[in-house]
Amino acid sequence: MSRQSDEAAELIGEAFPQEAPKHSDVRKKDFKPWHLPRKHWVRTKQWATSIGELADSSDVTFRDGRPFRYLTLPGDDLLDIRIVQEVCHNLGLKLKFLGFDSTRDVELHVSRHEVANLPGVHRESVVRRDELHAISDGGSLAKEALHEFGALDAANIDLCNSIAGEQRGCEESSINALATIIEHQSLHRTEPWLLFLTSRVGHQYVDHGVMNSLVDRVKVNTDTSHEFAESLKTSLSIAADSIAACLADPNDVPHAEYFRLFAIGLAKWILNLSLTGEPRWRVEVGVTCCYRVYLSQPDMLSFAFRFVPVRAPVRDRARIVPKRRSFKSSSVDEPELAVSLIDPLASLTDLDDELRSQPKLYNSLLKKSSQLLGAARYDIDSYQEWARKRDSKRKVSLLDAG
Amino acid sequence: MAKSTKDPAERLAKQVEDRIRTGKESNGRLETDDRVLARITDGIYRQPASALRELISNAYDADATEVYVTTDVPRFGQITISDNGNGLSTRALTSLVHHIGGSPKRTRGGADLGVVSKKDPSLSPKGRKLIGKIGIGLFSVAQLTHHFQIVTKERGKRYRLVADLVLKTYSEEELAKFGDQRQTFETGSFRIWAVDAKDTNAHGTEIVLLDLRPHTRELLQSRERWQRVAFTDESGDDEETELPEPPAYHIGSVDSETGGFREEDANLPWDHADDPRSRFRKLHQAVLDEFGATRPKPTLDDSLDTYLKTLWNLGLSSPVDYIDEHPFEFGPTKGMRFFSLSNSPRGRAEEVKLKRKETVRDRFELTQPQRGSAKKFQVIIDGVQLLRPLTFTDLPKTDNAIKDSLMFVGSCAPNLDRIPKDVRGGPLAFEAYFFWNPKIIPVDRQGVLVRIGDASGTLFDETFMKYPISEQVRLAQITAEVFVTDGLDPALNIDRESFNFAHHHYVFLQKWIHQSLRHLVTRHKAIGAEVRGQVRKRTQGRKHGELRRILQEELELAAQTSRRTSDTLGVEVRFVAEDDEQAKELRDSGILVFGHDDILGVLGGKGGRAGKQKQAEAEIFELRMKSLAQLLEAYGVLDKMSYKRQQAILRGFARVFTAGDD
Repeated sequence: MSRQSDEAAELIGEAFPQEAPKHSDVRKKDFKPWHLPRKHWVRTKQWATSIGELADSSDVTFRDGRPFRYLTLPGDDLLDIRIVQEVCHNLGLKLKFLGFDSTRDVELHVSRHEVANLPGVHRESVVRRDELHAISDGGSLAKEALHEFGALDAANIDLCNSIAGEQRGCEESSINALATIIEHQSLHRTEPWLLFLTSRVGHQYVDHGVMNSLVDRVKVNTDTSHEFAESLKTSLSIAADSIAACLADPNDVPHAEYFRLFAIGLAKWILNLSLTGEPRWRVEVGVTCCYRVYLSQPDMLSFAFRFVPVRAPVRDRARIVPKRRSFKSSSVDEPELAVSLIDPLASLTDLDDELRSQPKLYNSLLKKSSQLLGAARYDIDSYQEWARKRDSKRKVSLLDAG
Repeated sequence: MAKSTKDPAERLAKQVEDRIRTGKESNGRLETDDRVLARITDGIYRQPASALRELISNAYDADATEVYVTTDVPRFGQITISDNGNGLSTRALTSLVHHIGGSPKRTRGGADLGVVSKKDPSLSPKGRKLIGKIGIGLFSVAQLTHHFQIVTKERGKRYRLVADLVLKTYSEEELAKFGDQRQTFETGSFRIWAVDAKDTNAHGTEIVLLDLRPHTRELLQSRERWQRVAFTDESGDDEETELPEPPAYHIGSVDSETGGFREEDANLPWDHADDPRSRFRKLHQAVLDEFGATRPKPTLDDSLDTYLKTLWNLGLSSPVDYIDEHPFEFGPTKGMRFFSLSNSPRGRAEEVKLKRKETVRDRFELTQPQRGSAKKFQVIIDGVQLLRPLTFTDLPKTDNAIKDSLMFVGSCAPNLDRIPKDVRGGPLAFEAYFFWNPKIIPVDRQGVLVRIGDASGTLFDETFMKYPISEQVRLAQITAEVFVTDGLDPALNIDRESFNFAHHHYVFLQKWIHQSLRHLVTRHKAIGAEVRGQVRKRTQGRKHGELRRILQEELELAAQTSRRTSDTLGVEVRFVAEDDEQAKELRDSGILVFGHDDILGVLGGKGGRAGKQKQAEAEIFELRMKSLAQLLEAYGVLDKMSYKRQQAILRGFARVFTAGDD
């Protein structure tokens, strides 16, 4: 009689692993869209430059060897971290990063070994095996890790998909994580800080409900501020009489307007969020650009935001002391701030156009990008061949579109 | 040349290096040379700390100055051990996978692989005394996971080596398939490849333990303990048994399904803003503070959960710095007395007065620890820097008569020339201290800890290697460390956490420790007697003084109620033998005389103490009786009494005063 029993299945599940461990694949280093030279423009002109300016300014202090604290979604190759390390190292700063990446690959372990050996990288930097959205869950270890990491100097939410892809009210969403980061900063940060945000934008990528909510906030300002309405008209590059229709049904407008409207709506939502916490943050838009991945029109948006704490002078309402010659108060007038926020979006840099018209710049980015990928163990010759081929194809399609 | 083609490890090394340009991997089977080793691929330890200890030892032997262990606590999905040591050469790595469980260290072969000093195979390339065995270190990993990766790089090389290793679960049936003739046994498989490295000067090794075994995770999470706390029925049958409690400090608990969400918040002894060193110091202080706060004999298990206890024990076993300073650095201002231990059975522990600025190390010519040119060695686990949780000046003093701590120091390098070489097992030498304090906390620190080359897998042995004499109280007041500089390593069992009791080195050390304890105990008893004598003397003097002062006050009070002046009061009182013929003569000269035995004899065998204590009590009793007689005389009570009645009244008082004394 067989003594084998299926009744013990539950116990078996607790005691035995379900699968035998398998060797990790020695992965062929495939090239991805974010390896193209234009992404290096984002890395240098947006990330490196903004970080360099912030870290070098007197607004931020790095006393007692405090490291530059950086939150990132670094991928297997830790490419952004290598760039930020260089900036920090040149300024004599240490870098401590907190990364989120739910996949585990031997490539990540090798990259981490490389990065840990770069000068100034804090050895307690980690890439956590969590999705970024886990930071929004109050009971999660990811949230605990963020809390222990402390105030951020910069957060880089560099997404392949859209920041607003999930439905309104969804807890496990990137936009919820973004709100958590802003809230975290309000709780822990008193100095200016940076937020980089790269997101896919298009009708098919963004949740309609979220888009409506973003645009609703825009509508409020359009109705109450003539100045804002004027700025919006310029930013959207559409006729004044089309604006109302555009705002009434944002999910029904052509892609180009949709893209700009999303950018404005998102920036304004971030501003509103930042003015509700304590301390309040004034939000400034830095280098911002767009480029194409899947569509013939720009479908990727890349923002740099600088958050500056709002400071107000003391006011003697009892008029006991003479009127003070105080410092200029930071404006907290939302409509006014919103105008200054959306104005720069009127002249978004189209990276594909920019590089097509500047071969010298393109070649320089290709070279630097090759060096970065070479450090991450990519074959440089194959890379350059691939990048040129991809970009020349794109050039043709862009010319056709033009 | 012929040799290189025969040795599979060397052949593999060549293949890996040939494939550096292409990035192509080399695959193969993990093998051991021995059936016995094949059987233990599933692990040989009870606690995860043991495996981590061996990996830290390997980093130390690789001349690392920093080791970072990252464990994604409290989920424990993965553990990474990263060091800045020498890194492994292709040849060392391939040798490792071909002889897993063996150790290329401590041999001339090890020198060829670059893992030991060229001059002395017992030292690391930079001169550290080797403490680990690389093959065992990797074997121990099996306790934690069956899948791990090694990323390693040597300085000057333009490539990194990456190894992916998968271990098999041991199966008796499978091993039985192979006859006894088989030379090697498959214990898993490997995949090794090289990747380009632009950072030529970088060096070090990172070991990533993937997908920790459920049992390991549960151990590190103290899951069983939390379950006991959660499911114990408070109305249980046995009212005498204490209900299980969570430890005073812990990492909390997480959900068992994903491990990513909190069920119980952590209660850590440090703040997250504390630096790594402060964190460990606070952990140590928290455990000490449990004494007097929660229980008289706090243990590590009472105070810490498995994870925090792992940090504690790794601090204890690893070759890291002490929380304050090495006991050999102590000087004369440390607030303790120093003694030298004799190596002779007939010797004794002599007190040593250190000169100003002189240290124990200077006086006793001690050498430990021996770290070669790489002095610094820091291990940081999840932001906590490991330190030896051993301090000597902040332990409780209690009400013990001996208030000073006592530090006994010795060293021994027996001359084994007379012993046949084949029996000797190599040279043996060690240095040691025995520290006595009225209370040693936590109790886990009571006993002797043996370090071989500054590392230990055995922790404190509270029996002092089975000390045969019953000295329970005194042994619980001693904590000792032995630093072995030569030998004893062969006496370690394969788990490196227990000894082969029959090994000659072990037997010698055991006897030396027992002898030293005897010397210590003898000396301690003498100090105790000396201290008690001094205390008694001080107490006696104080009691005499107090009695005289009170008597004087009472005599003056008596003078106020009589016509006599106080200086005429306080006549001399003597106790003499009952048949003393001088009594009359003494009385004639104004002295009050009483029969000795009749009055002082009532104390007799009472008091229950012998010797000096009894004598001291008799003295004070006599003084009291004399004072009483003087007072009675001052109030004129004795004036009209016959000598016989005087004797009777004093005897009556004597009996009343001592009535009921044992």
